Amino acid sequence: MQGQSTSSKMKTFNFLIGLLLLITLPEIGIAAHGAANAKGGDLDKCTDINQLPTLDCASAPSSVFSATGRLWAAWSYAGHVYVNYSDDKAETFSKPVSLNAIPEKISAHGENRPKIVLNTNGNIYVSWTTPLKKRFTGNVRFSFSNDMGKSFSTPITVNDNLDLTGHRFEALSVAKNGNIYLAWLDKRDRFKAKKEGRDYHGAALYYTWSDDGGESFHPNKKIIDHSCECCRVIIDMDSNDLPVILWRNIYGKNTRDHALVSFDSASQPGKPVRVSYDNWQVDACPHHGPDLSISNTGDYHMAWFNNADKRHGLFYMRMGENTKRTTPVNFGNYKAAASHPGVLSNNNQVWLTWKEFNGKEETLWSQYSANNGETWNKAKVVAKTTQGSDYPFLITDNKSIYIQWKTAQEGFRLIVIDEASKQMVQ
Amino acid sequence: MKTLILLISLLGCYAANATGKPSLFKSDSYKQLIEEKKQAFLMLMWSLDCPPCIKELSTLGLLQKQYPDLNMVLISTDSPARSDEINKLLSRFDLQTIDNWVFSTEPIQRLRYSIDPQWYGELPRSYFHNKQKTERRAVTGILNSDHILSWLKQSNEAIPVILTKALNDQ
Repeated sequence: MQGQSTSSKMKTFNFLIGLLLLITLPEIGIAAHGAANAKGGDLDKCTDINQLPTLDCASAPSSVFSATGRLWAAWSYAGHVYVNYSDDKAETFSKPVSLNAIPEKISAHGENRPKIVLNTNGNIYVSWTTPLKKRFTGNVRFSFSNDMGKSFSTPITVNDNLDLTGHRFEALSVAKNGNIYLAWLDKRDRFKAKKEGRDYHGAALYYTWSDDGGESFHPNKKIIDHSCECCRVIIDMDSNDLPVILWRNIYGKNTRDHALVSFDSASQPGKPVRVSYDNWQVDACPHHGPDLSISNTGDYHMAWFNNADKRHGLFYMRMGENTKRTTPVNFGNYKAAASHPGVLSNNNQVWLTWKEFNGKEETLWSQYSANNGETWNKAKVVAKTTQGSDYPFLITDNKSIYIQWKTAQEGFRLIVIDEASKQMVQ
Repeated sequence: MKTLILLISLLGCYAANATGKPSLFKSDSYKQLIEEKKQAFLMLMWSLDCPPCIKELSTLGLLQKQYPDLNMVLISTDSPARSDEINKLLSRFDLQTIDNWVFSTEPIQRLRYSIDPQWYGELPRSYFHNKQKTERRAVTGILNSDHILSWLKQSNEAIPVILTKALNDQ
């Protein structure tokens, strides 16, 4: 592994640079609230110069199962993006491999974190945002491994505009045919408008793709102007092996509802359609992005949060590639701050997750539908914590459904959803 | 006399921030704030990572210059590790001497809940408190000067002397 072959001198140098960056540029380590710290007693592991950090040092990890059931995780600590794996459902992890020899700032918080996806051959693709000198600026970074995570390519910047402005909140996906797609919130047009003395509201949604395994990317293309600026963007692949992107958009002066775009081909995005009509009119940062899961039957399952006076809370909605959209339904307890929804679908089965807070403890919830989201089983609490937590993420190894939940107290864990394990249709 | 009290309380605020660091906002801080405030006040939640917040701080900075006795509390939802950045930014808008706080390292959910269980973390988020503490109004999104002045007009009992004059002049 690359991490193992690194000379100790280099390791020390990197560590010192990392430590310096950590002190001077807090965005790298994001000692943010709650989930930022390692598990009790493990903090030494994160700062010990002779040890590589562990997943518990990271504030905002991502994970995904390979086709063979190996769990891969991407995360960051002290200026490095790391990847490691677990063959025992997150009980133990391999030694992490650093993707960037030169430390850099890495966005690692709820809405924006390193992402990891695998293609059908097990090649690994990782992306992240590196914040630049000025506030709200950043570049989208990418690295890949074609040798099962033993080594990674030197990271490249994916955005082909290098203005000191925002290219952040990227979403990453890989198609069955090997194409790699990245979409992100881009402020190059806003930057230009400001220079010319014009107003520009929000950011824009841009994307690019690679058809050579991540060696190179096509020129960036704009999908839409005036997206919301600081909510995560989500991509999933449809039944035509093309991406579908969901994001929070700005309609009219300040209505922040969700929009979706599907593609006619890799190079041709379709016309964006408005998904939610909650009419949340707000000149603010919700920091609360949506989720999307496309089933193998071609249905788009969506979950989002809005906080308009009349229509607020968490919503679920289904839209088919060829069928009418369903009426959005509320889920979770608005009065208990139900937030950060995740959705996952398989055939006609759909799972939702979210978290709530009762003043003392945070609860992790799941809810299951066996009939494509038409009706839902009773929601249930699947985990609790008291010292702060990361967002929950639904992932699957095609046998069971898990929720990735990193909590300050318990660290990184996978919580199996029993209901799903018993009933999952193969 | 009112002006004197105001002056003293302003000096008090200044002293609290003389160290150049925002005060640590803990899960019992809001309760204390409510108890301590004798005037109507505007509490603004903001973050270094929120572009519209910066716009709003700029408005508040200008308003503060115009009405130096405006009773404001600024609470950054960033981590205390970013206190220097917070101070630097507030200084840019001449807001460093007003009552300003930063979220402590307690779980962010708990801190938000201590203020408002129905607040999901959207920023900027403002809370107007009237003098009697009988009314609190929450607003998400950028406030403009008119918002602030008109609210103060409604809570007329709470309007400081200089502001009353300014409102009458309008």
